[in-house]
Amino acid sequence: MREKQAYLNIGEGRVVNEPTILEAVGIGSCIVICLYDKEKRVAGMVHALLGNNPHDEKADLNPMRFADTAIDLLLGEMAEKGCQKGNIVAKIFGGAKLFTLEHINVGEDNIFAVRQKLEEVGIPIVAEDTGGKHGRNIWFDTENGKVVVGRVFGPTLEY
Amino acid sequence: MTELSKFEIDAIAEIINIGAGHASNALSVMTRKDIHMSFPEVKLCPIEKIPQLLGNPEDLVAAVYLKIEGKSNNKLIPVGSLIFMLQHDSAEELAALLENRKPPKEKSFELGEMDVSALEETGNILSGASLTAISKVLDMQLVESLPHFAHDMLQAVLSFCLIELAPKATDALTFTTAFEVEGHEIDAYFLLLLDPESLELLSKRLRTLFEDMLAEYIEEEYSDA
Repeated sequence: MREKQAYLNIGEGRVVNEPTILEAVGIGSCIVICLYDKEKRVAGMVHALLGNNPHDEKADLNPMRFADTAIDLLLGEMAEKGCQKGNIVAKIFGGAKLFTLEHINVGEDNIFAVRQKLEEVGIPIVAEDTGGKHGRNIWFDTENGKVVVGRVFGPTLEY
Repeated sequence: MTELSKFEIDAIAEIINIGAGHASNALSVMTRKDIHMSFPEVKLCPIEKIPQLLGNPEDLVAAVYLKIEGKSNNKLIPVGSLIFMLQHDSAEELAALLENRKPPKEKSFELGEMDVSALEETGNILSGASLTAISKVLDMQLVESLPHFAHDMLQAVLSFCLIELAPKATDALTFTTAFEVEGHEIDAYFLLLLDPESLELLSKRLRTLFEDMLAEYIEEEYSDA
């Protein structure tokens, strides 16, 4: 049977409990976090633009735009679907620096923020493909928790 | 974000159109070709969806990004971002035209060092030409950053241009101008993203200018009579 497929745009996150390919393309400085509970086969993924939510109440921003609030939302939904925190592992992708002369390295800040947040909530990072100078495409197979990373410049790898 | 009236948005689009016209003339001189330019398309767009205004997320593109700041009371304030973007094939062809040579017969995914600096320089010149109009209306000296160049997937490239706005606003007003170079398969885009504060300042200045002009116009009628 063909698995379901879901495309995640920037600022979108999804939790699924049936075999699905979660896809995100054109990841530059953005960061994709894949969470997986292999006991329950429940998976969550987000395509975040920045690491930390400024929590500006007036602006009322999409929480999935920011990795920290997105991780909380995904973990909350995974808990509702019966996941135990101790069974959840994370894989992180993205955080590249594409532009020459970039005075601030957003990608690096994003990776740092995600590492900090995952440590805070006690989720181990079991694989990552981060940094570098080029964009990535991500396919997360929630049947087995494997992630395929493709790119325009460079090899396609599995994590 | 401040709500702008249709009148204000049209006025801002007109200012950008004048700027883009100057940029288009500069491009015409650089390429020795006629340039066709569209009227700026204005859209209120969720920040997350801005990259898709210019193409498919996976398209291979070349882009020059410039950060624009304004000098106000000896301080620099954020004004916006300007992005000059071409699909890879267009970038190859424009670079060849700028370097006065024939485009390569074999298609490749690479751009040479010469191509990159030619495109960077073009982005720089075009932004300078287009910003004068905004600078005049804002009555503020605008300072552009050095051109930043990237060559990769469209969404990967353009998402970087959103990081200034992402912590501040849900949506942004986008102004997109398309250029075509006559006799060549070159499609280029100019995308201007204005910071919410500079947008507010721009609309305030427009109101003042409009009121002054209206007052002057009516005064003339009285003095004629």
